[in-house]
Amino acid sequence: MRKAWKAALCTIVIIALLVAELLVIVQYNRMGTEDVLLPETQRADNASVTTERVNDLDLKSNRYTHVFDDRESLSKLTTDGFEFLLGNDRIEIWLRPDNYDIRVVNMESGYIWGGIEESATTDMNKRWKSTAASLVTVNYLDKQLSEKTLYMADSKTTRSHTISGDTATFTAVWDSIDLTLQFTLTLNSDGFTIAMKDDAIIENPASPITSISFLPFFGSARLDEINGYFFLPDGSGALMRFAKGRDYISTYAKDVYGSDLGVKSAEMMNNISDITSRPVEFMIAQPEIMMPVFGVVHGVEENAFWVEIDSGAPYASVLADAATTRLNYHYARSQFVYRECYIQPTSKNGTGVRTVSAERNIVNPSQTYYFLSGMEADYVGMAVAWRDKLTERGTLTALEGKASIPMQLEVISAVRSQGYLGNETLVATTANDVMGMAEDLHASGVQNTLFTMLGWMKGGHGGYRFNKIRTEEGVADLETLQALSASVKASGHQLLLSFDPVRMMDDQFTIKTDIATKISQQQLTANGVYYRRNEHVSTGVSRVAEYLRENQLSGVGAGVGELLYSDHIKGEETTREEAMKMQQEIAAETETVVSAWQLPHAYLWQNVKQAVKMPDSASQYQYITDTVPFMQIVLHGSMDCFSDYLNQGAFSRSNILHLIEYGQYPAFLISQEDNYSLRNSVMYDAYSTQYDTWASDVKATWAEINAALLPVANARISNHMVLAEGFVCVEYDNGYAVYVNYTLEPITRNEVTVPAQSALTVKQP
Amino acid sequence: MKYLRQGLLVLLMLCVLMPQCAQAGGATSYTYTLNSENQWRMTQDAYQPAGVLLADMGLNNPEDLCYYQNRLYVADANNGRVLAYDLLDGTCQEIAVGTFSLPTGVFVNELGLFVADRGNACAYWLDMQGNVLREYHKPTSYSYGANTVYLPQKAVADSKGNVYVLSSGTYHGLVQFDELGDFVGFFATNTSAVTLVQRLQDLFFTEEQKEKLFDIKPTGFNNLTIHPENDLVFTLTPADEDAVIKQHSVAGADILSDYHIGEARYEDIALGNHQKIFVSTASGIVFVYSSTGELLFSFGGQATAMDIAGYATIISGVAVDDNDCVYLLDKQRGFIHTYIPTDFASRVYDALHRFESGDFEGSSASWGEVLKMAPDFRAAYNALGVASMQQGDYESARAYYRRANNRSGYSEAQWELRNIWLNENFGTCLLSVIAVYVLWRVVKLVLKKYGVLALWARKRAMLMEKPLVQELNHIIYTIRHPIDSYYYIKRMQRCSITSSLLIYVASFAVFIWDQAGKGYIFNRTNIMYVSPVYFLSMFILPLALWVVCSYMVSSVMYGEGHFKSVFMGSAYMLSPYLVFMPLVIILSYVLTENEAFVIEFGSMIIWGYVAIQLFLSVKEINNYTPRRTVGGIAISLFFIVIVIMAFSIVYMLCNEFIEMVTTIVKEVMYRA
Repeated sequence: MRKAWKAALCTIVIIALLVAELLVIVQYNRMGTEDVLLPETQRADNASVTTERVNDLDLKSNRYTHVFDDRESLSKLTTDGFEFLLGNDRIEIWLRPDNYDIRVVNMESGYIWGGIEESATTDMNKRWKSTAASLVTVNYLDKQLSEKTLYMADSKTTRSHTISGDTATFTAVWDSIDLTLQFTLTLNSDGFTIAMKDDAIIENPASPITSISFLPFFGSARLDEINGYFFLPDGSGALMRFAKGRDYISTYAKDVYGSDLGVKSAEMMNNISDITSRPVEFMIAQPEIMMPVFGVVHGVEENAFWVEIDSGAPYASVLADAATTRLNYHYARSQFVYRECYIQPTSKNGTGVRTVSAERNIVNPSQTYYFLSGMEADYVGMAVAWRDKLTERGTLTALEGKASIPMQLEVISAVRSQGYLGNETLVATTANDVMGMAEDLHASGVQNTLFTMLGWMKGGHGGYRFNKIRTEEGVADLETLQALSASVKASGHQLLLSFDPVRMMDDQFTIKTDIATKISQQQLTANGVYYRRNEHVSTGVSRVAEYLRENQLSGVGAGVGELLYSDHIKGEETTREEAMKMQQEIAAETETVVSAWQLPHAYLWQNVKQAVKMPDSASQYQYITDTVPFMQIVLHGSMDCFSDYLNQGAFSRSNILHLIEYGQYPAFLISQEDNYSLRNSVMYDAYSTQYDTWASDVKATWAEINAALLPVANARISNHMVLAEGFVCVEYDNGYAVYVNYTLEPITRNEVTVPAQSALTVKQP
Repeated sequence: MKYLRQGLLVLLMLCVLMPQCAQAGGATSYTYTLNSENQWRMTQDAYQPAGVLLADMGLNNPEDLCYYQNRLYVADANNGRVLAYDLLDGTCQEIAVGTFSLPTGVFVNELGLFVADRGNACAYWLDMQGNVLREYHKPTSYSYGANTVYLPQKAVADSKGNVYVLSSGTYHGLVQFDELGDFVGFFATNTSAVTLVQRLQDLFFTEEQKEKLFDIKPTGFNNLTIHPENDLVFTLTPADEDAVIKQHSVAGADILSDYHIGEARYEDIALGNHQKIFVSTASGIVFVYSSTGELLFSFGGQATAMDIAGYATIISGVAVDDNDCVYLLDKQRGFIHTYIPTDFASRVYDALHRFESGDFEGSSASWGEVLKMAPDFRAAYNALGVASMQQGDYESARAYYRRANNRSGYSEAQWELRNIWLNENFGTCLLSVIAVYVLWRVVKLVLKKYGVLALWARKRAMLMEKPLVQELNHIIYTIRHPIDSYYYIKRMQRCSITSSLLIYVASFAVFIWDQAGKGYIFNRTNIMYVSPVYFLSMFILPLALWVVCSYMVSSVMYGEGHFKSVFMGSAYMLSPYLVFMPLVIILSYVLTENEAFVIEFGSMIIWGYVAIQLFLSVKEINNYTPRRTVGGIAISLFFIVIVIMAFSIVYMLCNEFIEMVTTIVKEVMYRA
């Protein structure tokens, strides 16, 4: 027995010695790699190195808004062959009895809206003509689970309608699959609403419906015959101008409030066959649809309508097709999804069988069309009209006045890092470091900095848990954190503690029941990130909020309002609609301590005063022609919106000017430690964050944006005009105008001269 | 390469995590570079997409693209035309209407346009107005070969008018014509790769058999370009993984750096300002190299299902203008993607240009700017290392090279520093050695006088009487008298299981030290990326298999060795490694690459002696003849291979079986 103990002891000693040897070697390997003195630099802060051609090509890209054509657009549509259905002093709706196509007449301008003109016989085949003339189209699955489409305008459809007051009720019956739909079209003071209750759908289980679209061709345009565009709510807002037909690989189709990760794969598509030496991941995630609106302009500042999805938005998508060589029409519409088709994996390599969700989504779709004419008939008019409606509903309220513009510094406090014998927590910035930064900024005249601390909880970013909330000792203890908050506040800044109750890494949960389940009954995980169950998200937010409230601290949350997914765990399913309500409720409950959220979609705006990482760009699809500040026009003056990290990507003059144009505030990702020490942590992709190297740029950027945006910080945007390519004027309702010149030459307009690559804010006469 | 693979493995491990940091800016694809550990890492955006050109021109399968003086020239192959697009005014005109049949290559310099027309089997030289100045048909010279095909795919010309034609199906090299249009010969032939089997066949087969079997042709070039100032030809050889990009000297030899990281399937190559090399894959991924072949960035993306700006379908040409804007010719969709450099890329280029023009001081400041934005940009540290060396600041150079993980550079700086140190301290060192020696002699005399030495001798003798110490002392005896040693191990129990275990453990510790803890210059393993399991599998597993297999083989082959003696013999055969390898490792901390032979030779001798020890241990323990010993060792090794293969096959079969059952069950469940 004694011998056995002796042997065990010897074994332990030997293993310990070997481990010690390994650790010594690890330390030796690190020697000499960490402290490298960088050469002195000579560049002036924010200086640009761009050339004329680069600037010219950049300004021609779809990342900017371009000059609009003033060509007049006349409607080719008539009401001949149509019968009057409903009307008031703003609009009249006419119905064609033989196919139930409609025309809408804007009584102010006399402009007639509809699908396609009757004479478009050579352009389209029968199927397309039926689509274009339909009030509603329905997709369903046949026995082989292949998707088929039904059109209301099709001759085989049995149609009827009744009128009661301002509401027309339509019934469509497709005998071939025993499907009956009933929906209403209600006239409003400034438009009409089209809606359908779920219980008005009578279907045959053998032919389940998957989605419906109302008025798919309403507002369509043939090639470049109409001077106009579609407004798409992509990112900050995008325009698809009507142009000649070109063939594209894909059409525009995005889900409102982002994809449902519980159904669709969150894995990025990165499949390059001829790359072997380099990682194949190439795709930078494009912005999502955060607002349930879209619109159409026929003749800029002449005629327009915009659509707001009132109900069913979590199941809605916005689709837009540009004219191609096969179909000469541009058309945009929304689509409401009732059932999802997905691949049920049956093997490890992901192959499986195609199947459809067993339950139908509770959608109750409803969308309202609002009509604009004259100077209001453009994307600015749409944004202003929607903003007014959100203000009326109490979703948006005016911000309090501020003495200087805010700037976000996201501070990497502690992060999970990969050590040799397991994960460890790496402290990148302590509370004292943050205090030093605050003092340094204060001394340089920078005020109103929003310090958001990432990874302040035990375990650091990518390692903290919500079951017991406490601070990471290496960063600060609770008292130090409270003291930091107080002193930061005293020097005119603000401290918010970041948390993400939605996304987790493998160190952040112990029981698998924490994780949401996909429709295919797999764990909801993608690219190393796990997604928490919706109820647990609410619990997490509550716990953090309680901790913050108890300790007189404030927080900034991520995930809630940003990611909306269904959970399919057996017996405890939550739908996307339920998840949205849960997020709204928890945001409302915790608003007093957590009023800042990351990338909040429109459904959360009522409870958000500060929004971080807000998009100032749109997806750069080939058919997108312009990016517009639609979201900023809606939100400026009601919510402080911060940009994505300026020091991630390509820090350039145009980035700063873009923020000034969009009325958005700057944000930087900062740490005390250099990025070499973060290379094995979960923040390995933070390219350059060390405060010492960025301090001068941070200060200069704030000073420049503060000078341009302070006069308009609490005002609302009233107009956004492109005076020339690369020269923009943004007017605010307090009488100020911000001129932004992206070009390399000074530009003079309206007796205002704006130097090259600069911005100027002037009081309008 | 091994190091690169390790790095890539770790990167993939990290890339399992989606990027945590979002991007500000207009790029649609990530930019990659090589970090200091030679791993691919995402970095600040180098390029942004800026729309498309010629989308309305109806290009049909365009094959080549060239930039010259604000114009882009396109070989629109299936339309049989060459187009010139003016970047300044946006106009487009067709060159030499009706001349071409299937133009697949276009190149422009101050002499005019050079068009390769596969359809007409001819290359053309035209002036800027589109007048044909000369046609280059198949050479009639005997040296070209009557059976050699001539299908011009690409054509370039130097500033003197020498034309180089890349002909499809011609394996002898580029077809070179002089300024008078006469065939000169083949330029820059690739070498043929001969496999081991082919070498054996070459040895043993008759001439007739060889004629039937062998059709070894040199690897063909895929594309080419030429430097407008120094007239050096650059080619792409897709099959040559270690030198896909070649920069040919006047004699045709490849003079680009020995090894540059890149893709085997590059599609086109173009040269930018200051001889920066831009290459693109067919999928639209662009790689940018410095003039010395050092990778700067890689960016771009493939349009598989999304029509996003900057994502290509099939790329057939790449061009770069004077502003470093990149143009990619999308063959499938018939238009040109444009990419503009960001401020970050411009700063890198600025630093690079200063550096390459010898302005080391200015370039250091510029590299400092680059490192501010991308602190782990390897090319910057390498350049700073060179600049510091040039300025005689060896300390800084060593630090930069260390950060760039550039062992050769580090070694050079280390050599200089060591040299300086030796020059400064040689006298002191010599005096110190003499002083220590004298001191030692004096102390020894004193200790002897007071009887301390005798006391030590008695203590040592007592210690030596302990069995374990004697057994460990047998290590030295094994090194000095291996034959006797194994005899004693077998017959006289001179060692024990405990001492053998201690030797195994100590050797394992030395093995780890050897693998991961050598001096930086000689250490090719970054321990952070090597699991402890790797060390176990590389040392313990082979040894364990050896002991078991060797014992089993000796049992079958009537060897005298018991398991215990085989176990102990195998431990003691590691004696040279255990004793001498630490000395070599210690030397690796002070030596540089100039003295690398000391480390290599020392290691070789040690491993050679271990092999002799292995032979003797098998021979003596089993009492084999030398011939039988060789047989026994060979069978043991074969047995080890069989065991490994058997385990692998069983593992794979079990895995497949479980997978098959799971798939069937799941499919039945969901089909039911």
